[in-house]
Amino acid sequence: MTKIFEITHRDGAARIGKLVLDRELSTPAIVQIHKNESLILDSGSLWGKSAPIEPDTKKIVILPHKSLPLNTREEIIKEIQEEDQPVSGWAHTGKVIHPFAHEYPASDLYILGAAKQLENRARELVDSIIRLKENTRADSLLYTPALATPENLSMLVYLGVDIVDETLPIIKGYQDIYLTNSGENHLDRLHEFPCSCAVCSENTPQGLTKLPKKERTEMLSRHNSLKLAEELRTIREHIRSGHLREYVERQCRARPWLTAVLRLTDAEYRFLEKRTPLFRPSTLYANTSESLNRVEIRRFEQRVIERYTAPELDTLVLLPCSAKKPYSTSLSHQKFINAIGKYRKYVHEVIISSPLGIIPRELELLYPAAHYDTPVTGHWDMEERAWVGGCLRSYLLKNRYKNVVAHVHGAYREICESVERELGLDFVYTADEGVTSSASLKRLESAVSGAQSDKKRGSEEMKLDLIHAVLDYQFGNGAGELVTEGAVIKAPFPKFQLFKEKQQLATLIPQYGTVALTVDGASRLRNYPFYKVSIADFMPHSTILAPGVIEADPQIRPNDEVIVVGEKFFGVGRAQMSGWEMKECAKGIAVELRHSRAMPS
Amino acid sequence: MSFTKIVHDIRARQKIKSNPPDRPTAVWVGKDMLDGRPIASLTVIFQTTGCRWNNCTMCGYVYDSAKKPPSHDDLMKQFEYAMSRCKDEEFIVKIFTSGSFFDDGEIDTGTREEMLSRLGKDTRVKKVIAETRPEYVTGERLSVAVSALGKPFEVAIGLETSNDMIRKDCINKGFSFSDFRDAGNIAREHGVTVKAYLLLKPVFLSEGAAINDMISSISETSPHAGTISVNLCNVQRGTLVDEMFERGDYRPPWLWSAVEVLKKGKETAPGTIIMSDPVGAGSARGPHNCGKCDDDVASAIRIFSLTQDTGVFNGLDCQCRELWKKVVELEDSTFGSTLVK
Repeated sequence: MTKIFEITHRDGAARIGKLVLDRELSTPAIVQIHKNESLILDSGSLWGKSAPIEPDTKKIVILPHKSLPLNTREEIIKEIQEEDQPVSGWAHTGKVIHPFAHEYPASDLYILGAAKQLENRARELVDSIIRLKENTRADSLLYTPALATPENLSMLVYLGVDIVDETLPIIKGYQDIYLTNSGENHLDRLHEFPCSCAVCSENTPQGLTKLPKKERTEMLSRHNSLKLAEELRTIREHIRSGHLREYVERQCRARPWLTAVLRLTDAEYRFLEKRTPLFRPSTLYANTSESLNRVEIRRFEQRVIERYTAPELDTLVLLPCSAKKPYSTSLSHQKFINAIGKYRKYVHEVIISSPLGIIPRELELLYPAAHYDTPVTGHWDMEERAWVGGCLRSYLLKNRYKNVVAHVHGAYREICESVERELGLDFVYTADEGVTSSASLKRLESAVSGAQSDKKRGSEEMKLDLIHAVLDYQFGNGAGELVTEGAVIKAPFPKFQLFKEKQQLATLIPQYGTVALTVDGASRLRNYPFYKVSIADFMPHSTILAPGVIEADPQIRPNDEVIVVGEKFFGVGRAQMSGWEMKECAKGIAVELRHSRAMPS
Repeated sequence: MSFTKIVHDIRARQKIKSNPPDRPTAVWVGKDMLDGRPIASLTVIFQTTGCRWNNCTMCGYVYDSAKKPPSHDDLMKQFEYAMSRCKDEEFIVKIFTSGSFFDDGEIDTGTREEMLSRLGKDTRVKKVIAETRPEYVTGERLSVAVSALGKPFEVAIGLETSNDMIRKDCINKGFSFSDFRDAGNIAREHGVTVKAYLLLKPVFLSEGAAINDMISSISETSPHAGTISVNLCNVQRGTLVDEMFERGDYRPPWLWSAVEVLKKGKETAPGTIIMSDPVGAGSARGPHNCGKCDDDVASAIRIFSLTQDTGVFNGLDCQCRELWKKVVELEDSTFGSTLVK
């Protein structure tokens, strides 16, 4: 549609954006559409007699509507809402869409009608929002009227809601209900105000109760609205820092239905995955049972199975994870590596972790393998065991070894044993006395000493395997081979640089464990079909804007390394939005270019 | 038309109690107004085959109708039974049938004529009001009626709203404002006065939209009706309104809204008698406020209906009035939901 909305930050389905009309509105935002100065105006119900709105190109006008309650029978929704009203003259429009509707006419803004009744109805909330977002343009806005409260706001934003209002906080104030982000209280039940907003710091619950109704309710409404605004600012900061998921995981505990919303949303993996960046600058906290279902964790394991190929070695050494990341820098892993010693060239090291699953040594730098933290108690619940066991099973079905040495203890060992039994394999266990005891380390050493075989790799090859594996992880199976063929690694771990003679092809970025290509490196993927962005015939400088994108690989995610190809242009850069979004958005940076070159046409 | 199908589908699921065919569905004595002074009124609801249209979203009166068409004798027995109930020296008679008094399918021409001429002869009866849909108001039927009765006669029509779109989408009434006007003109040509029933807050309307609909309906209806009675929607069993109420999709109007409508309406149409009987006031299924003030507000509405004095509303107040004001202000911006119970 029209270029009024630009998304500037993304974190999963949540986003921060700029709505530019007669002034700028930063989203997610709280609006009051019944006020004249609102950027969004309601033409009103077709059943009412509203004063006509003056044509204004600087407003979004919600088209005349017949809004229906949530549980209206489907036949009635069809009969009453399907007669589309002819409309003209509006530059920017909003459309009211019933939560159970299945048709989404083009619009700048969608208002989820009767959204208020979606409170306490997790399934309907998740379904209606996901269906709407999957059937409308990425840069259209979503407004859920009369639903937001301080306690549910983070979940709404997490699902991709851009606009809310303070209708409920105001009405709750008029019902003598005091809102916080952890729930609501009737004023009568409060002994002290937990908040220090302008209203609460100057009053007590007892004092407020004695005020006349009008004054009292206005003050309560004001507190409630302030609380909503405060929560919104908190949420926006969490989006910027990449911590919204962690915040939502704890905020949803305020009420069971919100926890249900999180779980149901996690079940919609595709919806979340296509919006989740390749990496974040922040630590991933896996604090809850829902953390296990995070896209970042599921996607990592999916790529290990689908994109990763183990080096050709006969012996696998399974190791436990460590608190310090990357694992190889931890004291325990240093001990393992020392114990393996000179036999390291014959063995392949793979780390077992909860919640991440299976991490081949080559991928230990990648987000989130080196970027997560999780509570360690020694106790693993059934879901963790099933998940990690499943990962190990899939890994061993794909990658075959002659010998498996499992230097693991406790729950790790129990998981190994169950997979071993299931697959009919024979593991050698070497850590009966704990993984770092000298007896165990000795046993590890002696187990791997029997691993000598023709299949081995030198330390240079091991380094090259790392870049190779990361390239496959980022671009798909086969890309690593194309880029690393005939090349060597320079510079020490973890700042590897990939060279072919004098020509630098790539650099390992230790912070996220990803590989950044040079133009020469990217040229090696010229005929490789994936992670490409094609642009129109122009010469970009430092960025590619979304409207300039002609084609983009739909599997591109924010922060992915992408190859940009134009008629006379070839470059490499970092995606700022998903590939499917590049094609839909009318505004915003699609790719930050790192290196580029004019190409003879 | 699926709307009608849905209403029928709901109707088909109801259990219907049966009454003896020679007893009216209901009879009661109340108070009313005649030429500016209070008078007793005898309300009779005849048990007939019921409304031929039978498709309105809020109407549960259909369950009062007879399974078998009552005979002429049955209906006359119903009539006699009803007339024996009023002991006042003077009263007016209000006839309902859970349908249309002028529908020959419900009440045969001969039966109707006999009832009216007996009412004409009864000196206690000062005026007769009969309810009907507008399509049954014809010159022929009215001239027979007027000459049989020979005293003031009024037809009462459930117009519900002057807004055709609301009447169609929210009520499914099956006639238009111009049908009502035409019926009114025929009535006037025969010296018959017109009473219009309006409906405050059919389904789908917000509290504010419902108030506005009533105020403009009073203003647009008053040229065509000497009396306007505002029905405050209540939730009758076995209706679409009932289904929506049970699902949290409908809240009956606030009594404060009724007060607002009567005040503004009387201002707009001072020459029209505007009344309202707050049936079921104070209950969840009827028009209600917070529970504390319902009785006071409902009785003020009843007094207003008899006195036409909006001054009776002046003293009313309650803490919930502030909440109601906010609901009226904000409910439109829910885009379909009710804001409070």
